[in-house]
Amino acid sequence: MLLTLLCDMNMRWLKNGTGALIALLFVVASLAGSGCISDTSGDHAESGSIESVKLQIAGSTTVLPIAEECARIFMEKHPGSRIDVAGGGSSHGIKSVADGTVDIGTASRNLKDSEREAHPELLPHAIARDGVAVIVHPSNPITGLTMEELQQIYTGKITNWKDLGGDDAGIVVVSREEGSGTRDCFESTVMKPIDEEITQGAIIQDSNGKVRATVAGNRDAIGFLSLGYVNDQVKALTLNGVEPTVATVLNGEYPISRTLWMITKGEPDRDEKAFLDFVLSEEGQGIVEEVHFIPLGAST
Amino acid sequence: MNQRTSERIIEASLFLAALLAIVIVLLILLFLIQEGAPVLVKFGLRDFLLGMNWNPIAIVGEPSYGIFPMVVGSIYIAVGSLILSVPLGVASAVFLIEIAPKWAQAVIRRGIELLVGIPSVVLGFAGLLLLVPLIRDTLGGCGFSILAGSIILAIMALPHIITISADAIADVPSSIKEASLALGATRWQTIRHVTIPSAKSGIAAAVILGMGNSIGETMAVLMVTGNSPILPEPIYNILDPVRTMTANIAIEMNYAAPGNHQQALFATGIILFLMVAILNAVSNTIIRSERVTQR
Amino acid sequence: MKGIISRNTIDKIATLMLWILSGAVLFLPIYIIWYILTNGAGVVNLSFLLESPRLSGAEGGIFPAIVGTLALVTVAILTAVPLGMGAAIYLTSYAPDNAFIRLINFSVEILAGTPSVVIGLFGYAFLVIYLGFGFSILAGGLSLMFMILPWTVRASEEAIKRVSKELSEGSLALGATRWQTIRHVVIPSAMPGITTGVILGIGKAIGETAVIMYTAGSSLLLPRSIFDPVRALPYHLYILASEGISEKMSYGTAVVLLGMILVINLLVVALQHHFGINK
Repeated sequence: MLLTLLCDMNMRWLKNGTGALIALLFVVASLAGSGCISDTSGDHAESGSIESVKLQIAGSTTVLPIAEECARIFMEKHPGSRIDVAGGGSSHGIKSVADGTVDIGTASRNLKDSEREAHPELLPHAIARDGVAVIVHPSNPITGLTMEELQQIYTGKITNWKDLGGDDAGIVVVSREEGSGTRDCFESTVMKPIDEEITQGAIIQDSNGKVRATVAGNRDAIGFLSLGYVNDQVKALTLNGVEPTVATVLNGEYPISRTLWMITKGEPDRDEKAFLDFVLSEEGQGIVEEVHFIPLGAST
Repeated sequence: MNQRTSERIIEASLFLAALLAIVIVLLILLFLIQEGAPVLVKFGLRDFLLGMNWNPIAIVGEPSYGIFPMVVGSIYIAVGSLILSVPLGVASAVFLIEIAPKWAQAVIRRGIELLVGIPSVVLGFAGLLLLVPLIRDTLGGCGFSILAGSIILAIMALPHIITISADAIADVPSSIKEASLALGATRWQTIRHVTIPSAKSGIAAAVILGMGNSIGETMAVLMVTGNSPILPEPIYNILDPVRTMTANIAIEMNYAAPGNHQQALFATGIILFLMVAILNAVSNTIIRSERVTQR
Repeated sequence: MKGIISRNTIDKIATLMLWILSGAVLFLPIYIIWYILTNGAGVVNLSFLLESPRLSGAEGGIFPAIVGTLALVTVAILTAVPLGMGAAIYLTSYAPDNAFIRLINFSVEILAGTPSVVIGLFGYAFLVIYLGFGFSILAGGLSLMFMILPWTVRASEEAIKRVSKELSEGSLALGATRWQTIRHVVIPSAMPGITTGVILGIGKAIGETAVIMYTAGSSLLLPRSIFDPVRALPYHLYILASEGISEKMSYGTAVVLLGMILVINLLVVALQHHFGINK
């Protein structure tokens, strides 16, 4: 009924005549838009070199920047190639590669036992490392926590910064959504050893960027995010005295870390291998670093 | 003969086009139920709808799928948005119909159309950057709150409230208003005691429909409400974060593994669909019966 | 005690309050648009519009997202308009007044009220998975169609109802069949109204995110066919902003999105001017 009334309003201003032309123009413009696109890509397809690679990739949104940028550079180097990259999440990536919808699935967590059992043919390839940093507002006097303190904050047992030697202010706990690879990594290192859940009172944000924005905008907040997303709007805390850096993640001193994966079904075929080789090459690993993750071979 | 056949064919295909609406609605129900019902059967509708605990990936013990806090969150925010938007919307509608000079009418109608046109992502983005910090700095709490969600939704509901109320007010027979004015009532007295009461049920329909729209809104809300899947503490604390049913689907769908978790999100969709459909039906009935009695 | 003066004063105060409240309502969209424009207008230039994104959108432009939006909206409109018009013609000119037709009308209302995220879920389960379209322009465009179809039906219905009875009865009296009358008399006269409805539908479809999030995919490549995935502008904006990829680019994308909506609004205004505004 709202429809009728809203339309009523507009119709009342109309008398007669025809405006189809304008609508037509719109459709034609959009058609021309999509039309010329297929033309240009058609050109590329014909230049098919030996390495004209066709791939579909889907999975973790964390790995998305790496996959997208590597795909872009790879396609620049090998005209005629086409690599479609989509998100969807780690679980989606693993499922899609298992049932053959995509060639490569990406994941920001390890394969679960259930997934291994269901799809023993899946072959994960490590492509990068990542740390999960615990962050607070830059003005927060706290500079580090012990693992125990962090656990108590996230279970909701410590609720005021003054109990940790900070200001007298309630702690605003920020977490990620259920299913997130970053949350999975945080939970398996921080929460699992004490067998407790993250407090239900936590603010839930569904991306690294939103977690960072939330903590950057709130003096009393604490959150965790992918190490690469730490910037000067937030302060990363030391954990058990260890600063989260590329070096401490790689040598294992910093405890909350994970590996990012690209997963193939069985041994990679020619196209998959060409792309994986590129991702693992010096240039590919340079891209990993450029989009703020930790290259596999990185040293201090 | 030939002409009659082609007329028949045309009528049949037009009928099929009309039938499409029913088909789509049924398909929506079918697929929501197919994907969402297993989890409802497994855990029971009651525990799903009234369960207090949403913990689909449990570290300790069994996962739990209770969406009660989100049902409350959705209703809370929708009601909050109506408390803000109805007085403002009705006031604007009264102004639009009874007071505004022609140029102001045109300006307001343009403004309303603009407001309808702002994509909800843009609105949520603006809310995240402007509204959340403002609430935190002036009222306290963490900014992500029922209040922030209500304000954003109120902005989105305003055009609809104004449009429907304006129509209801315009439908009030001018003879009644003129009688009131002739009896010596001022313009405001006439508006307050004659026009608005006469347009009451039209406005009520607008409110219920606005409620349905607000419960269904997704992107703008999830950017400003904080999304904690628990009840506010205490229950009337509008500065606490909440999660709506729509946000529950949008946030977790990306990473939900097929199985119970994904099914629970579809089941959330079933509840959401039914709630909004019922509100729409009620609103339509009011508008329809009103039209009938007026005629 | 409260004499005529105070009644008149109350009247004046009330009038003033209504002016202020309505002004406040107008102020909101203008402020939000102004805020986005001042922050993002500097980013928008030709290369921003025509280049592909680099580094997930932190650099480069948004061309594929613009193409994605246009492609999705085209599919949605090309399917919704004929179907919506057909349904409207049937409902206004053929349908008997019975329970089944009321059920159709009821379904149109229910569909119009269905939350966009639910349509997105349905599009995912039905089009992407069940029909096997995958994340694609086709799946996303059809999901958008489900959303705007009821609006197209209603807009067309209203426009057709406005065509004067004498006109079509005259045509029928001259021996034209029902369909000939509809085709040569009713539709041409109803066209401006239908067009406005269609343009408003385009406006709705352009800004929609929740519907396409799980149906159209998120590829930043230019699509080659309607079976390719695309990322539309609002979803690109959502990803840029929420992943914290680039605030600057988020504002720029928001400006382009708002620009498209403004153009649509201006089109509607222009149409209305062309056919003469009355109330």
